[in-house]
Amino acid sequence: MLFNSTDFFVFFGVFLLAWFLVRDRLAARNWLLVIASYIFYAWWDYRFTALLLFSSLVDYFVGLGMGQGESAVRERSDGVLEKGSVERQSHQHSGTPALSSVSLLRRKLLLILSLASNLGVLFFFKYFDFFRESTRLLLGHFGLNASWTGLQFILPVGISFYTFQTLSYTIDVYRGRVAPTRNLGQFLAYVAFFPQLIAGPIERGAHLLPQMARKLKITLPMIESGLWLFLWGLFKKVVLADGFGHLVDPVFSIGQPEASQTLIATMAFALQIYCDFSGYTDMARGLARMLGFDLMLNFNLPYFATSVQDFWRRWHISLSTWLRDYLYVPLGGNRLGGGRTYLNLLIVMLLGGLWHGAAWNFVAWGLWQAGGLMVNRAWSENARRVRVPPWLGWLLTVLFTLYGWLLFRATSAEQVLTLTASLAHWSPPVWAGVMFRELLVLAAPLLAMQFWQWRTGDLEVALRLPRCARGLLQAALIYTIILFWQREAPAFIYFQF
Amino acid sequence: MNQPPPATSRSHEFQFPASALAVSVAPPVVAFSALVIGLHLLNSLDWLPAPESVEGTDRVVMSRRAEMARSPSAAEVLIIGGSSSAIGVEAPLLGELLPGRPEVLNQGMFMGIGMDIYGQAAGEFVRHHPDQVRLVLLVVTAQQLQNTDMSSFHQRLWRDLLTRKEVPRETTRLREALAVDSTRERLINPLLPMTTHGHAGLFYGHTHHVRNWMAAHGGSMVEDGVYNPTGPVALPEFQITEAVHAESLALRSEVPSSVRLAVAITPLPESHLPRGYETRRDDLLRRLNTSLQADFLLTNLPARLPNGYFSSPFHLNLRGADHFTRLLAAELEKLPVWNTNGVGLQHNAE
Repeated sequence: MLFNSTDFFVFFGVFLLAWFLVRDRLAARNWLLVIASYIFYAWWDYRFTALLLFSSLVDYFVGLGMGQGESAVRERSDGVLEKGSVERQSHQHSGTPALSSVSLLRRKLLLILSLASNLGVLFFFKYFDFFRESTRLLLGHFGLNASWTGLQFILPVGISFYTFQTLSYTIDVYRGRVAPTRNLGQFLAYVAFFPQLIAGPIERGAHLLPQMARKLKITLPMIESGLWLFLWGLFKKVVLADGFGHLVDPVFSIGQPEASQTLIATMAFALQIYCDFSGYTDMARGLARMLGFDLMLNFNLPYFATSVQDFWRRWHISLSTWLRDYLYVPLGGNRLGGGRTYLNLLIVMLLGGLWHGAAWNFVAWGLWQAGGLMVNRAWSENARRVRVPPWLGWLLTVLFTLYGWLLFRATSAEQVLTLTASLAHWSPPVWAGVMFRELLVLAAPLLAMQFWQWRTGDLEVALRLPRCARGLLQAALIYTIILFWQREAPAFIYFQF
Repeated sequence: MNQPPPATSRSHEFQFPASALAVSVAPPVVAFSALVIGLHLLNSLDWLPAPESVEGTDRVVMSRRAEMARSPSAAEVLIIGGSSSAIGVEAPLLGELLPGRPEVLNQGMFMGIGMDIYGQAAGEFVRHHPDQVRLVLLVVTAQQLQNTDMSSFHQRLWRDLLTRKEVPRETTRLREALAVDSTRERLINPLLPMTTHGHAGLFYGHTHHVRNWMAAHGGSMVEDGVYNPTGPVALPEFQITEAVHAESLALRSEVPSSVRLAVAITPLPESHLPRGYETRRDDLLRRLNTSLQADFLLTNLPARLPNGYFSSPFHLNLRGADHFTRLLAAELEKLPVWNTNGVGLQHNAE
């Protein structure tokens, strides 16, 4: 189900009524969330709810298995363990009693089981055909003809998001950072929580799971800010992202554009993907907040970044921190010397690229980002005396990011080459001015809002407006959304990941 | 007596009265209502910019065809057919190359609309321009003749265009109550024209330009690009369905006997054509003509052209259209319909 569809508004209206009715029963609330979330997911394809349930149950039981006999684990009242407590117990043998080697072995085996089943399902549905086809092409280069047929499965929507979410829970339980929950309803609700089920933010067990276990206090400011977030997110999707899409598709779908067309389309795509994805996140966070939950921030004015490193602190924060905590740091992070740090960056960004999709352009995009981060790191380590003015850092980051989006949006290596070569061929068609004007018209409200947020350092600065002014702004947004509303709601870009 | 549930089992609580929520929601509701009323008022007083309609490419093409059929024109040669004729034949160039330089109007539409509707496009023009048209040239693809998958949307749209004489607007009562359509037409459309897609998208940019281009180029359209055969292309089965025969009869009935009817099949990219395609194509044309009763079958046109002349399997690019138009002119020139003094067309010539 799409947030930008009439179906969703009916669904959410019915859900709110039920939400109000179960306000005195914690267990019923969580089961209501589970049922609603599964209906929300089944709206797209009911068959894949079994996959969601499978993934959830595996990690639920793995968590339980890891928790058995771990009375020594210190648990806070909200269900979160003290950071690194089990690791400390097992490795330092200090404080509370250490885990037995049998227990450690069991935990390790359970972790492997969870990783194998979750990543196995992800690989099967998302990457199998890609690797099969790549292997076939590779063999073809050596004159070997492999006539394998692809499985050509439909990619289950949101699979990368909920797989990473359940994995983070299992790894955190293994590391002793989260207490395994024994409450199935709470765990299923945590994995399938419908506002963020399909495109994140990728929530950690330590953050969202305790909220499933406690009484929620919903205040009027929470409702107001939740409504604002939802409205602004919906505006970004319906008006801006889909509007920018009209400028992107003709150039990236087919043909041989010239420089102005490629530039306009690439800039439009940079704004489209930001509005589409951050719009979804805003709506998810707004809906959750109206229900009394808090979801993590996923975007923090990424196009105001003054370096590539800064960009990744602001863009898709839930994924970049996931990759940092569960991949970069375990690989050694920056603790094993310069060469190894660069290698780790390369591996992480390569896998980060592949996370987005099973295609070589995402590999190229990941490598491009890794290259940017490496240069960024090398510069900051070796050229500390040369101070780059913020505006120059910003400009270079924008240009770097723009070319990255060209790699990301292209559908083949051939198209990347065609579009790159087109940048040297400047012969704007008569309508290029109209297209550029359209880009500016659509970008204006976004830039105005973001500049305001950046200047004040407050992402919800619109809520500080006097009530009447805020009402006017909200009315204008609602009316514009209605003006641009489409009967057949276009899906979000990140649904395919 | 009911006991309150223990605190630990409580789910969630709303820490505000309903009246506070109403006070919070009231400003946007009031502002929204005022906005809608204001827009209705400005609209009725005509204080907003002039309305500008934005239509999708298909709608632009269809409405332009209907409009051109009724507008003043000196066209003596009409081209009808699917998109391959709209894109593959350059009307101004054809006119320049034909004896006497007659004006040529391209009324090509889309595949999947029906031969009868191509005939209606010609018939409508002939009725509005009596004793003017001398030759109607039907240009189709071989695939089109076996096509049974018709677009009811386009057929309905064409009927509406012919009968109501204007493009009907799709709206609802709610949209009208909120002044959505008028606001879009007056405030949004002038700023955000609808972009076009595919090869045509790159060429035209937006649908306003499609309309302007057609007006300036005798109704002909462009799909510029380079054909890249990445997958198999469905080849014609060289069958003519009963429905196509019936549509052909209807087409013929729309074209008066004083107007000569010629028919041609557009070429296909050479990379995926089987041997003997030319012979089978000519046979197909002859079978089509059992119902179409065309005066001339243009069988000397090439059935295949190099891939470089195409932007997609059925559409010629700019270079291909120029080449095909020249070949077409050379074939048409041989027809016994032109005046011996080289000016204009000859009536009822055989």
